[in-house]
Amino acid sequence: MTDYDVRLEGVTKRFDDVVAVNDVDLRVESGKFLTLLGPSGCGKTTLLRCIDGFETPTEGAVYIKDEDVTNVPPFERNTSMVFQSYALFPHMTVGENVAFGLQMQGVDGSGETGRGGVGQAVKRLVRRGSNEEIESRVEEMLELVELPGTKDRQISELSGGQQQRIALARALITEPAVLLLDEPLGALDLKLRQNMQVELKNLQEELNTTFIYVTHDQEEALTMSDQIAVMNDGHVEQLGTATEIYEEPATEFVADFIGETNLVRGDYSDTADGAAIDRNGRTYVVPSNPEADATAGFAVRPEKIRIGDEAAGLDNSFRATIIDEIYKGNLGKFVVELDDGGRFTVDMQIRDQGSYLQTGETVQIGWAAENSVVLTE
Amino acid sequence: MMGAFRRARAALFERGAGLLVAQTAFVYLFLYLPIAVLITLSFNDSRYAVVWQGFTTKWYTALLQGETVARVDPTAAWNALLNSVEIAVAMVVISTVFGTMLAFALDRYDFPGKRLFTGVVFMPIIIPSIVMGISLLLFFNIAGIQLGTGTAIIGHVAFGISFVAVVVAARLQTFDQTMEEAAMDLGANELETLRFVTLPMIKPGIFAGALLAFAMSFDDYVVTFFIIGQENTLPIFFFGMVRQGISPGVNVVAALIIVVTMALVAVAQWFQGPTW
Repeated sequence: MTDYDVRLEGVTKRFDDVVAVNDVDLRVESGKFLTLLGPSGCGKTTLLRCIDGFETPTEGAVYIKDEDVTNVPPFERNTSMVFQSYALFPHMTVGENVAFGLQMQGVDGSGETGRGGVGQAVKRLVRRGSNEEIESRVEEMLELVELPGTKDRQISELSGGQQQRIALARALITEPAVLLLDEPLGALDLKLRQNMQVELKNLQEELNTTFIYVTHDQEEALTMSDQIAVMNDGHVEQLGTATEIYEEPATEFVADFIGETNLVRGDYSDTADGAAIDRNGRTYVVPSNPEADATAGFAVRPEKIRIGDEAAGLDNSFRATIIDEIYKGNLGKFVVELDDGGRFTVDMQIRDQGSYLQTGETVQIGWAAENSVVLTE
Repeated sequence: MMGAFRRARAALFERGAGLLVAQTAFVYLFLYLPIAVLITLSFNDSRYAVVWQGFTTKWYTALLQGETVARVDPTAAWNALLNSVEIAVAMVVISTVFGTMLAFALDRYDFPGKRLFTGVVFMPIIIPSIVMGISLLLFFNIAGIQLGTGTAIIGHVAFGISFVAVVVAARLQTFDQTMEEAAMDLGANELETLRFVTLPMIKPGIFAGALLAFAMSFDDYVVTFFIIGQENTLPIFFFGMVRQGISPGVNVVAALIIVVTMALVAVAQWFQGPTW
């Protein structure tokens, strides 16, 4: 039986008239890295806040470790959040920031653990206790994020990348069942961001903690995730691995949002040895799709289209004229036009010197049916 | 060509800087010269004239030993000072608590009639003190409340809350509420979040508001005059004295108050700590 750390059932969140999250069902397996990927305003951050408890779903239920937490406040949930702005406390040192979660959990100087009665609650309000256990855990966390010995530093003395790591340490010290990350790398420069992507993934595998990561950056999602949930307009369009999302996009939106693709809308029909989509009187051979009624057309990635001699004899093979070309060093990007006006983007590896093509040339393009994907609405 | 331009510009800036220094000096002179004169005259060996007759500390010694100096009775001055401090401290404590709560309400919540409510809250800052004084006097009379330091405290709180609320609300505007979410996310409940994150972070605003309220209360004459009855505060006491001419005794008491006030401000700033 699979363990799910987070289970969402029919979660809907409305703000006045706006539906931010629309009837989302989602299961996140224990120890997996799930990314909520989508454009701004698709509801991914709202969904994350429903899991953390900052928003209460209008409808539906949120389960963490099989416990219904729909109406449990954030401070009683076993989740931690890494905020986009880091939200480190400026009036506390690095060490105090990292220790905060344990102190609030009641790992105080008295050695008692757990959130006790009124007396303890009052005592905790007087001061944030510290003890050897907290101190050693703080040092452990700082080592984990590769910033040992920084506990007496002020937050303002740290660089953006270092603040990011401290935010991570602060969130992880309470050993949450789920770590939620809201575009945490957004403020870093490209190089640092790429390093942090790898480090985050390594950290997640080392700790075997469930991570739910929100981003609009598809490259980030493809790099780190075990599972990607592509969101659009408040609902999940597709849930799958990076390969599934890229190679077998379920909907037009996913095909268009992830990577670059050629979309062809048309009418679907089953044929003797597969299926076909007609557009402008031209027939494209495609793999058959059981949900044929809802089909919108098909997509084929630029790198899956062959150009030149090797294009002849493929399932789909057409004459086309090059109308635009972009030289990218390792590959050439060509926009070609068929005689019916249909346009395709084609990537060509430049393997041989002098094989580059020029605008205006007429070429043969083609692709195998199985390299295209039939899309549903 | 460029060199000449640069030199000309540099020269202009140099002269400009000189002007700036002069202007700054004049502003400070304008602000502080009267105070310096007052403190100097408190050491003047002359009973009546504002003409310098020589240095003496005899007014200080006399007043501190309880002797009356040129109609200034140290016991009356001391009583007035005690009243002023009592009113100001009580007013600051009450206004800071309620003003801060008010600032939170205005910053965090939307409710019907909020604009009107906000306007009413800030009204005491702009309405003339004399109107405030008369209306409070009428109110206390109609309500049948005996005038005294108690009514003075109530009257001062009526405008103190507004000043604290304005300053704290300004601070809250720049406060990033994600900080509170981060605290709650880490297991702090609402009270703990307020205690360990929100209050420490807006503390400079609360201090500034309290300090402003203290200053407003301590030197208020008009409102107090109407609602304090037979009691005296320092401003009322001074006004009574000065009406009959400037006396070295008044200078001494004023000089002492300046020293104490400055010390208070220094202590408050030290307590306030750094700002983020």
